[in-house]
Amino acid sequence: MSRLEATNPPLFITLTKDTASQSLSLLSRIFRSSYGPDGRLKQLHNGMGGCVCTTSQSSAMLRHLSVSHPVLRVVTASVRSHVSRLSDCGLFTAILCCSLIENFRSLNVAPGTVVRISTHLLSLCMDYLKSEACCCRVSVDFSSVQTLVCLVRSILTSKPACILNKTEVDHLTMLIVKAFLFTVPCHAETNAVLGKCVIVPVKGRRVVDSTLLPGLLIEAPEIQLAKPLTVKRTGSDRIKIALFCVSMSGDSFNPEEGTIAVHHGISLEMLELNQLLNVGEQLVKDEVGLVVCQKVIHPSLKQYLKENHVLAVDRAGLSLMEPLSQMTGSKPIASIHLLSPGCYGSLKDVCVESFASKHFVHLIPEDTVICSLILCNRSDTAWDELKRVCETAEHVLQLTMKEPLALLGGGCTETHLASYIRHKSSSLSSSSFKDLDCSQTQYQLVADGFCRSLESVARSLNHDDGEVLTDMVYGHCWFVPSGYPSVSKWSDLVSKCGCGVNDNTEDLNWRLLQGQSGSPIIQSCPKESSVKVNDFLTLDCFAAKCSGLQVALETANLILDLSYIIEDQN
Amino acid sequence: GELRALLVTEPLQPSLAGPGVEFAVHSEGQYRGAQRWIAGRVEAVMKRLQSSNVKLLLSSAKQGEVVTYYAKLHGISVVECLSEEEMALIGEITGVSPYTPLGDDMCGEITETAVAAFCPPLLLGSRRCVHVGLSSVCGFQPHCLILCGPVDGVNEQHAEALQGALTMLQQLFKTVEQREGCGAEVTQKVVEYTFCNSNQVSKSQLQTLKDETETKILDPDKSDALVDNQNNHSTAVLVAHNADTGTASEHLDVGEGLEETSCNTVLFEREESCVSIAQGNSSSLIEAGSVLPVGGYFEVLLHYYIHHYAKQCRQSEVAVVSSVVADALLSIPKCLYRTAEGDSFTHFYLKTINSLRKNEPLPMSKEGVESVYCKYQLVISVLYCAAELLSIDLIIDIKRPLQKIEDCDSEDEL
Repeated sequence: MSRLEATNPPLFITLTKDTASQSLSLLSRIFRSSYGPDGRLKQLHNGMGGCVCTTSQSSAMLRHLSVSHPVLRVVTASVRSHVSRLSDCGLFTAILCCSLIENFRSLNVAPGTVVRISTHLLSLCMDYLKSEACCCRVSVDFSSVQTLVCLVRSILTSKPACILNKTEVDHLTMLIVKAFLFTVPCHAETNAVLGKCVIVPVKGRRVVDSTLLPGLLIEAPEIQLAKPLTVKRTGSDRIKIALFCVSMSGDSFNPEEGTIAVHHGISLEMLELNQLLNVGEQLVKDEVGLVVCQKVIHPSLKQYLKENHVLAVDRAGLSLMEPLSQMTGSKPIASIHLLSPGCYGSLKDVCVESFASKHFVHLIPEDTVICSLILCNRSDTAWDELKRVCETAEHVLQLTMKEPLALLGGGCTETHLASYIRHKSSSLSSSSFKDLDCSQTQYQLVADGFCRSLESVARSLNHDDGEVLTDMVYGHCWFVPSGYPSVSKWSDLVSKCGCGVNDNTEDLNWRLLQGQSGSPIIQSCPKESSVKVNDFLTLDCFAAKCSGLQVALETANLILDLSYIIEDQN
Repeated sequence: GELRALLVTEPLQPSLAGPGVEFAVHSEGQYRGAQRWIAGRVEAVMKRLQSSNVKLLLSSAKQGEVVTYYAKLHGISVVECLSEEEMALIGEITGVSPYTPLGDDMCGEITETAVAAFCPPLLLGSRRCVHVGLSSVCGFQPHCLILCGPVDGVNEQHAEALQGALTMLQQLFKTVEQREGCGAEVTQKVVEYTFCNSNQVSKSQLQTLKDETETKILDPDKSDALVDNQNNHSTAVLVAHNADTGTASEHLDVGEGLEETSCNTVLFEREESCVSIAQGNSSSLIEAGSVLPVGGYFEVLLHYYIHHYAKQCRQSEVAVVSSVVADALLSIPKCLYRTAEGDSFTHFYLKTINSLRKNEPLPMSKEGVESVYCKYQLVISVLYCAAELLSIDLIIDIKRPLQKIEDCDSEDEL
């Protein structure tokens, strides 16, 4: 007899302006304190054991953070989906989103009006960023690596959990840019596809020991270093490679459905082994020099291949199959019962490398679209963070290739956008107010809230009790270290702006960036800086930042529009 | 150029032993031969597909590695694990049924293939999809709408809203004929309901129907009469149909001024035929594509005409219930004007009633229009629902879940 138990009724919560405000401000503090090169680290740790993660990256934090309030879950879900698509500017999106929600909630304007006005402000921002006249964006010139190096260096320095000093940063930057350039195919065909950079972990060594190698590395503990490798080559001095994605250990005779009845005197293992040895004979006859198997190779087959001077590498793993087949042109063989000659690939060279105490078989292809980055770092947690950072850097370079633009970093884009919006919103025509169905005062209030949120992101870069200034000419962001005598002028205390473009040679009209809304600021249109791109700029990814701005505002609007939460408690 | 696609619902690789089948191995040669036959069979199928110019295999089952391997060798792309709905949709669009490897005699070309103009891979966000341009044999060309949003939940809600809008558009073009038959079929359903005997239920449920600010329609002395009324489910009938030139101007062409001609609702009555006070020479009660401006005009119009009918009605019970329904209709525009400032509802109501009295066209709403047919269906459904609820006198709590009528045979006895 089936029973229906009384279920818990759904929980019905009305949202007010104060709902989840404490949790929201806690979440916001967590993100703000991790932002930027001086950010503080967070340690994620389960009391029952397991590994510990020390990070300042949003992707790692959000994956493990458990949020209970539904409103905050919407925020974390949006930021996670942004990071999964674009890898960068996760913290920027999160901080901006929380700040927008707090600022808009504190205004005395109806939520519907706030949503309309903020959407209009967003469209102003996006139009400005996409226009030619935008003063905070830099176009990326692919004929020199200068801007790419600046981009990668900005990303590496913004993650303090990697614990890198200046030489290490420079070394890794060059490696990552080189790896990216390796993945670009030399001959541009119609369907050119970017290659891949595989990261090989070596923990416990210094960062400067990291190297970049073309081709792939497969870990092979049993290959001895002493003997030089003699690998069979074909007529054209290439090495033929056979790639197997099926297990060659002789245990693949179990059918999924049905049963197998074996008669007396017959052993299925012997049958399989004989078949494997037949395969070995066929490989030797076809002059194959290297056999790579995703899973395990039977020891007898390995011995046979070794006697016939065929190198056998097993346990390559699933993640290497696709790069291997792309690199060598071989098609992974899926059955040991039918070998077809059209599925072999070719390599230029094979040798043995060793790092730390690990031994690898190094496969070198003819064209180096696939490369391997041997990444070293002293501790496990620092290595994890470094791996994430390298993957982010590679993704940012790919995104920049699609859209060759970069934005000024160090908080300057945020303050510049804020100055632009302040200028624009004070000069809107009255017909726009009618279209938006709001009054000018309401518009100014919302625009002020929006600009303060952007400025608060820039202010989050400052963790050490100094001051954050902005100038009224270019709209850039300037940091003043703490401990200055109170009677000095701003121009004596600042040296360079956040992104490195401007310095204090001219007298720019600086003002303090405040959190609360103060007196209305009269702003003229921010100008473009006259200094050109140099080697020490801080740059951010254009696509990631624009998308982050959009996601943050849309999520904030979504939260502002919410009136009720209905939760199913079963 | 043109490529062909094949639909399959089962794995192409024959298995060594099917479910419940036992494969007996007598000798080594036999085993090896069986394995080789399996691989050879898959290769033969792939060769056949290649010669029939099939470049895309759409499979609802997971295909084994051998199949993927041979497909790659022969230049065929494989898409696996399609859902049932997707397979059915593709089958409907292309008119092609799935290919069965067992039933194939391996000679001649495969005929059950779909033609596709392109099939490049597409990266949507973080998902890899394949974009197939199938040429359709039925009336419509398939299109895909990609909805973007910051979170998955928002996208689902947008998708549902879009579905609702498409359903509304389909309903927009329906017509309602002015026929006795319409009322008779409706009254059949009404007669099936049981009679309600309790005074309290009727009264309290009537309370919920009426609006708080309206004058009390229920007179304590008349409550018995009202209960009898509910027992017989007679509610007010119809509304005048000022059919004239106005109807033509409503057909989705709301640039011109709209006349208030569209309030035609057929409600049900007692076992007699439906009384339709429809005058005019148009044959249908609601023309296809009839629309009204949004903002509560439909409700106010219907309210006005029901009151008008109630005043002319001979039976006092029908008049009273009509008034209840008419006043209940006003709760919708009240909700709409609740968030705006001041007495905007009263203002709107008086303005509309004045225009109706003077027979003037309705003011245009800048926010849009709504379909009259959909609103008509809505009012009918609400009245049905209210009638059913008012006839319930007891709700019984049960421990075992109810089963549908068809499952009666399989019910197990304790």
